[in-house]
Amino acid sequence: MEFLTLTDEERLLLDNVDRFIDDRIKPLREQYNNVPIPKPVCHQILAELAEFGYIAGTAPEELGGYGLSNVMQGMLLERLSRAFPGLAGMTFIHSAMTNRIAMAGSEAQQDAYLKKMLSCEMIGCGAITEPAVGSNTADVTTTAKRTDDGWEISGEKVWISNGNVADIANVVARTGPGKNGLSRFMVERSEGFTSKDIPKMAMNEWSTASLHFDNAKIPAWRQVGDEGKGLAITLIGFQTARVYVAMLSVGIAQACLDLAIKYAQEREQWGKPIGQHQMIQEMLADMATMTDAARLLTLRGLHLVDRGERCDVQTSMAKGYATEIAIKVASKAIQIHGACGISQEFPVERYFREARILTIPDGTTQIQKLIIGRGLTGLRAFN
Amino acid sequence: MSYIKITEEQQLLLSNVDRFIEARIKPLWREYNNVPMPKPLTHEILGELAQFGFIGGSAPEEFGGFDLSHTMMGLLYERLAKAFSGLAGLTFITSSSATRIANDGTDTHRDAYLKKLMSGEMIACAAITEPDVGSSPANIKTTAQRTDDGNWIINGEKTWISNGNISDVCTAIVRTGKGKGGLSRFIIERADGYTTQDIPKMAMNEWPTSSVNFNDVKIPAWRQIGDEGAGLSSTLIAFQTARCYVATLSLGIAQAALDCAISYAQEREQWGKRIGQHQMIQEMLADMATMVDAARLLTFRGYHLVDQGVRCDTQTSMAKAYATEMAVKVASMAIQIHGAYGISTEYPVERFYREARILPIPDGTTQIQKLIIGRGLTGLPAF
Repeated sequence: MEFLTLTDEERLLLDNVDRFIDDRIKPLREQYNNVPIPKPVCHQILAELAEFGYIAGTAPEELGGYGLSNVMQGMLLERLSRAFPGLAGMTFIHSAMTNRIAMAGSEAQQDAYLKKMLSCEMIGCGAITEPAVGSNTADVTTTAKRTDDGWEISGEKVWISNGNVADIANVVARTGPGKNGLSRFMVERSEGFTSKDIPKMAMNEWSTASLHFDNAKIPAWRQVGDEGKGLAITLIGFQTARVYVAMLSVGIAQACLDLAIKYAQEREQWGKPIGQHQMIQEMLADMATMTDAARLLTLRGLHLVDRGERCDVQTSMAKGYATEIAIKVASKAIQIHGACGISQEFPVERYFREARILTIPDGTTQIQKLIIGRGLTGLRAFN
Repeated sequence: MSYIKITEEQQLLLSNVDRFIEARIKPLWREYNNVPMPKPLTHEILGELAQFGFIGGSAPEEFGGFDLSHTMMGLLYERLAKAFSGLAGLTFITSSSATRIANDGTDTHRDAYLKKLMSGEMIACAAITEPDVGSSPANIKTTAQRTDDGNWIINGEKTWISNGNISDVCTAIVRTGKGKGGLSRFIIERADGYTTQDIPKMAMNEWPTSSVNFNDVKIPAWRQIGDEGAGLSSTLIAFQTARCYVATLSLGIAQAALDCAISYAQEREQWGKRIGQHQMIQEMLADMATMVDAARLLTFRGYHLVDQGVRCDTQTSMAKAYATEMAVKVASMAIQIHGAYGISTEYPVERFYREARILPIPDGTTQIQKLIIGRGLTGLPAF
């Protein structure tokens, strides 16, 4: 299997990252427990992560990237997510937005934003979802109206990851009727969007916010990609995004498994470590098998993205499976910990709440299954 | 499977195998439905399969093998199992016996058996299990006693021996001394005087499982294979590889069941549309396909590690447990999608379901696999 073989250089990078995460990231997770990370700290820590290739690491070196494979970028993200899933999510979104400018932005857009985003002086978000537009992106109602020298954006976006800490938003807005009437624009916060955090049951370190665009005026050069191609670009972008969300869940599952193993080795009942009782071993074996299956599905997805193959079915399998099993694995980790599992003195209950979030964004589990089902049968069952 | 690197030559081999299976194997699957295949025909088919590398294909060319990786063998076997899992099992048992004689045998052993096994002229079985010895091979009771002239006399009963009833040669693990280090392996020919009797089972009777009786069977000294007392440890290491192959049998069955379910869902209409357009059917198909792919990835990771020569009990046990349990679920869901036709013997899925149900048992039950995984994770045995 190609994607299981790493170069010496790649292995060295992962080792360095592991050390950095131990020293720098783990304390942050303790410090920011389900509360937003202050914006200045976000900029600082994202910049430190950028040095390891976390931000648009797959972009070519001449554009300021590291020329990493998506497989490698995914392995980096899993490590970060094991230690701090919310921060990993924030990093992934900013990275995806930076990567989009690097790969699809005009020269003017690259000149204006690429350096600032790679250095994390600016934080990005991507704005698609609206109050009445969730799984069916084609129904977006936010409008972009042409003015003499540019565009005017109006509308409301919700559940926008990184929304409250973002300096710039990549917005899907309507420029005409129907599916082919959607286009993408870069809008800076100073040009007229406001944001408000939506508090949620976990992962509040990673902002999800509503974004309000009130006649935000932007110059013409901010349009990204061709007019009317907003939906198509978004759907292809999802293919890659899904594998990274899957990796966030793989990280959570691995962290829970590691904690459960350690607890089972230490805790004694009936005169032996609970890890020697068969029912505990069965739970651990199931958790490890599900986690490995999820990681392999995800790495396969990243590998296919690296090869430039269309792989909706495979990336949806990764996202659907990994995000669902992380909940099961985290729940079993709680069970193995007994009452300590639900105690906030132990880390597993937090992972459990975090795992529950990820079956929703970037296409719910049900949407993933509809994509897989369509791929298998050639029949649509969306409506 | 574009995540497994194969050469053009290997691709050609796989295409040839596909054609052979279509033309030669599929009609056999229909003809021998849960009844033993006649021995002469079995030899003939094995001889044909051998030409593609199915028997001992991983052995070096100097021994008559094809120098194939286990990964490549896995790709071959998934194809065969998809068309006729019982025959794939029968072939695999002969193949693994040949491989072990190639790797562990003396020149005398190789001269006597390899060519005959690899041409299909001889069919092999391996005898470990006994009436009172299932998951714990250390308790084997069958004995080998040394005679004054340095030969051996074998006495005892083996049961559930795959290929037993059609075997010409048997590699048996028997007791030559006390305890775990008192087990040795011997090659025994049917002409030496062992007798067999088929044990009818709920499915896969094309692949005999038999009791094998040794009643004062005299064999010459040169038939001992491997070091005296090393029978158990060499068996446990061989299980590691065998588990990937059993997982592959399940993979083939599950893929076949999934393919049937997809075509049925595309054709059958209810409420004015094809049932594949109903969301609940798509959900079943998506879950089935994801489980099949997860099992394939776990299995081929196992082959990859075996090819690299690293110890991989945990990973191959994950593959065996997950894939064999998965196939039962997938075949059951395929029945459900077919409705009443699913249980009709006019359709293939009920047969897949019965076949799938066999495989969580041999080569270590699911529970034994989980104990191996659990021990690997925690360092604690819970047997």
